[in-house]
Amino acid sequence: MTDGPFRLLSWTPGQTMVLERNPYYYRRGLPYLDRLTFDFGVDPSVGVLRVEAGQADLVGDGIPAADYLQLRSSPQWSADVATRPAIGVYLLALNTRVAPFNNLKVRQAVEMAINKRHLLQLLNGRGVVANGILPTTLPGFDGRDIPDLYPYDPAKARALLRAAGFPHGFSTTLGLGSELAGGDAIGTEVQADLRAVGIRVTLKPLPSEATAIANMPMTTYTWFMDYPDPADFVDGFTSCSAAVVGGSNPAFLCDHALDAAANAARPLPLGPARVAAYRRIDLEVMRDAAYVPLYYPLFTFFHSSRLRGYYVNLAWFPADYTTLSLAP
Amino acid sequence: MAVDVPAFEPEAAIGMRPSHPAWRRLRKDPLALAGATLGLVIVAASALAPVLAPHNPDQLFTNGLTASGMPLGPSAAFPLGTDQYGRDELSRLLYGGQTSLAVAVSSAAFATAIGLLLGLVGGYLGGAWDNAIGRLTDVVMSFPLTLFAIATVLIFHPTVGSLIAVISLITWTYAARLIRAEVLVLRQADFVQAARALGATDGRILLRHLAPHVLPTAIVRFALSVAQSLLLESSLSFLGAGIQPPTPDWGLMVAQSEPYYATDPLLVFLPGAAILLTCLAFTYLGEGLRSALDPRGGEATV
Repeated sequence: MTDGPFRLLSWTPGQTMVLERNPYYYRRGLPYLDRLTFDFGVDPSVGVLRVEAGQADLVGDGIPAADYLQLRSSPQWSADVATRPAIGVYLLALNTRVAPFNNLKVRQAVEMAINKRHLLQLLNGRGVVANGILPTTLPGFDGRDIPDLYPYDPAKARALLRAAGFPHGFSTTLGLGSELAGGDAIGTEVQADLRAVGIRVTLKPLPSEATAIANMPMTTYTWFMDYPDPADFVDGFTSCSAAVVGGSNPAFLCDHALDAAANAARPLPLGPARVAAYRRIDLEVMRDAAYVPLYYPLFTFFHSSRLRGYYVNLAWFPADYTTLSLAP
Repeated sequence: MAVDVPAFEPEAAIGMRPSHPAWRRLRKDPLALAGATLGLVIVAASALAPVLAPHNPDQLFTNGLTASGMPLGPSAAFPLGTDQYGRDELSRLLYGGQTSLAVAVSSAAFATAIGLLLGLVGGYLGGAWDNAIGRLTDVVMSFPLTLFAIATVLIFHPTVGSLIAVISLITWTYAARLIRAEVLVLRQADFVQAARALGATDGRILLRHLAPHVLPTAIVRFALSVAQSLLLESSLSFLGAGIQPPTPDWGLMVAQSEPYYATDPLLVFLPGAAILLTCLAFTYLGEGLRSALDPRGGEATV
């Protein structure tokens, strides 16, 4: 049963899903494809090879760095690499309820210890350094970010740790979303950068959906736009009501002034005043230093040369398969 | 019936004189010498990593990657280039050797010690003891080695210590079977019978008369076991059940650089070659020791 362009033909959980054209779809003549097969759990590198070999037509996000650069510089394939800025953010959530991250100075130290530029270098520049939790690609934000409250400064980070009573640093665990695109790079960068200021980090790979429920001292977190408004980010990340295990606030940030500001901003009409109000909230969130924004990602896709009509939704993640077709 | 056993020569095992026949035989064996030299160089290089390594192996260098984020080739600053995170490859290889060899050598030592003890006890006491130890050996040997190691290491969070424990607890069987077989023959020997007739206790016979005789076998087994443990350790680290990042380790280095096999093959080749050469070195050394220590010319299977 569906009113969408495709209907489910078969599904083997964790392996394949086959969709077939819905003949009763309300838009005449669409979709173009008769059948669409998804293979799950394919290593991204293998996915790239399969597209190159003509066995698949599309690889999702998560093209490994080595493959990405090779494809981009290849005269044969470079035209088949599609990129678009995602309206989303990758960040670290510091659990404000557990020691030592309940200490503002410790959180500020972590903010200043992370070398985000080097991280983006590891990711082949597939993103933009983030200063706040609100993507600069949100409607009305004009690509401008809030000022950077925490420029990369390991010496200052060490001083903050000393002031917080951790002259020799401490040991902690980072919950790392294991199927996160670029997760290896994030884990390596965070581990090395924090080690340089005295914080010893053990990486604990977790299924991405488990990062919100694992109640880790530190965890990677991502959010992609569900609807085109900053409230989609602010309400989830900062509200006290979301600060529960399994909620969308893995830093367990509960700042009643922020809640009040969010409640005041939410009903504002679209326009500069609304944007300005949310920028102020973004700055306030950063003053709490519960989230370490890493970068606003750039999505990359690799498709076969015969694929036509490939559009990527701006909201959330998936592509729109309705208009896909194959050149003869 | 008495079996002809060569007279006990303590030098055969410990502190060999340069004129000892085993030593002379070893020196005439080019493969064993090559293995010994190579093994020594690798062990020394790893042990001296803090002196030899040009950089901190965990440091991510901003100038360690190209503008688009690719690893660098060899240069003056990074003699073997950098890895995909902008870390110095040579420093990681040297420190990686420290980790890999520490695990391999310690596991081999523990495994040989356990095997020596159980082999001696089982072979000499016989009966129920031998049966119990023999069945235990069979049970441990019947486990698929790697699978068992993965399961165990994942239960006991993988650390250097747990890796050593797991590897030695599944590889001691090789030494135990060899030593037991040898002790079975030796305990019938005239000198053991004589000691028993003179009223020597079991403990004394085991320690003073049997142990020195099987020590050469244990030493050979130890050398071969280093190679075996290194392979096992690297495989586990490669599969993610061994050494955890960012600790440098050869098996882990191969795993992490695997996506770069086409663009930067050196990253996969170098740690792979280090594993291969170290295994070869210890295997040739072990084989050489075996034929050198066996006065009958060495047809025994180790």
